[in-house]
Amino acid sequence: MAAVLNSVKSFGAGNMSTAAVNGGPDFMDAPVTTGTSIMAVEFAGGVVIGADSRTTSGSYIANRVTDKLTPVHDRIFCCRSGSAADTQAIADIVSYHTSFHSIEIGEPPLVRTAANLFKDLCYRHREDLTAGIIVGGWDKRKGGQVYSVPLGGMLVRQPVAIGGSGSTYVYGYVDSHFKEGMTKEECFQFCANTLALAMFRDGSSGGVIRLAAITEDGIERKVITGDDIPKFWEG
Amino acid sequence: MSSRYDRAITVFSPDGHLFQVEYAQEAVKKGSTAVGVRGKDIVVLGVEKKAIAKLQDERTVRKICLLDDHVAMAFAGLTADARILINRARVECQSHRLTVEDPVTLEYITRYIATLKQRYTQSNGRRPFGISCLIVGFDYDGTPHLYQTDPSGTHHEWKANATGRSAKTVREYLEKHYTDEVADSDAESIKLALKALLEVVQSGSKNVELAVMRRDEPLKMLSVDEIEKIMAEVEKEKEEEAEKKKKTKTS
Repeated sequence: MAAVLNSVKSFGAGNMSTAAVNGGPDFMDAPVTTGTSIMAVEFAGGVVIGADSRTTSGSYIANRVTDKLTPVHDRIFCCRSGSAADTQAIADIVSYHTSFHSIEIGEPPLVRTAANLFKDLCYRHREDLTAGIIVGGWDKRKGGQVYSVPLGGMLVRQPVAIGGSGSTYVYGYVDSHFKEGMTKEECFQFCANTLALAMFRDGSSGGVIRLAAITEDGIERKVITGDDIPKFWEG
Repeated sequence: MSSRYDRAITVFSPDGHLFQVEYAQEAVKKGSTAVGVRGKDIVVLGVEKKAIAKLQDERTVRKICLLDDHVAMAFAGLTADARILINRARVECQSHRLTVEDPVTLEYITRYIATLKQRYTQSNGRRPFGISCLIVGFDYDGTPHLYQTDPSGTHHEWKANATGRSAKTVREYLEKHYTDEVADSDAESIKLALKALLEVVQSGSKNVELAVMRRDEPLKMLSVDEIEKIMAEVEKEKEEEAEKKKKTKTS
């Protein structure tokens, strides 16, 4: 919990002074971050992962249709939050290691292995990185699994994980609406609702809702745009 | 005279030989046969499986290896040397993907392996790798390739080739029977590789290992049943040939 609150502070804090010093608009100096709302849910037979699509540089939206659901192997994805550059670099390196490992052992890698590779990088370089990652995937041994690797490089498996600046607004919704044993369609709906609520309240999250289901049979991707995004009480 | 010039391999003999490299090629000739065939839409690798001890687990003797999703290789010679080369090649395949964001081309990875082998023919205190590799696969643009490297570090592209024990016999068979029609058909290419291998290997599905790779598909090791089926077809064709010959002779 504390790790997630930290991420909210670091985005807002340093930027106010730079505009005055450099005499230019704040987005020119602000780091490019995936402000973000991301989540992943385990269900029998796989996982459903989801993310918003906003990449910001200060208050400028650098990309409003970002894909934050990045594959590192055929049945293992990661949801990226924090610095866009850091998370892209980390995902590329983990992808390198999982591909090599998979060819070496002659079978698809375990989700836990990929999660540990993320954790090793994030922990070893914790002082230099700002990366909150959720790993979701399917393997033969344990089926669908979700692993959370927040800012400091901790690793923990959870049935449902949320992350990014938008996640703070939806802990209550997730805690009250998650139940074990959901079907794939129920998970899609649960993720869509959660992300819609997070995107509504968090300024750093928005755009479209990207969802993906990872099962033994493959990847099913969905995009929810505009009016199809679930609506709740909007005041 | 030769014994004075094969101690340190960095030394040329007076008549221009690198004896260590030639001895390495001898080691390759002692290894079990490997054959490769390049078709239009398929590449095939076949290896001779040496008879193993009763208590030994068959599956741990693997002479056809994946280097990347789209590149496979078979080798003849010192298996332990091969393991090292394969590991270095696998790392290079992934490293290439990370830096250049594209999978390796067959030519690139063959050149890498050949360069590595050459380096060991020109350094102090190191001996050359005692293996010859047959590297097959499809480039990103879909073209199939078959390359061969040898302990000296040279590499060439081939339509079909063999290495290891009795490679000359197998190559002659391939030269006689490789045609563009064979290359156009997946089934014929597989049969050609198997028939070529059977020239020097004892007949029996237990003594050969076959692997095929089709464009955009992962490497597939043929099961014992599948090999037996193709062998039965080959046997039938042989019988039909023999029957025809008999008929033309008597009539």
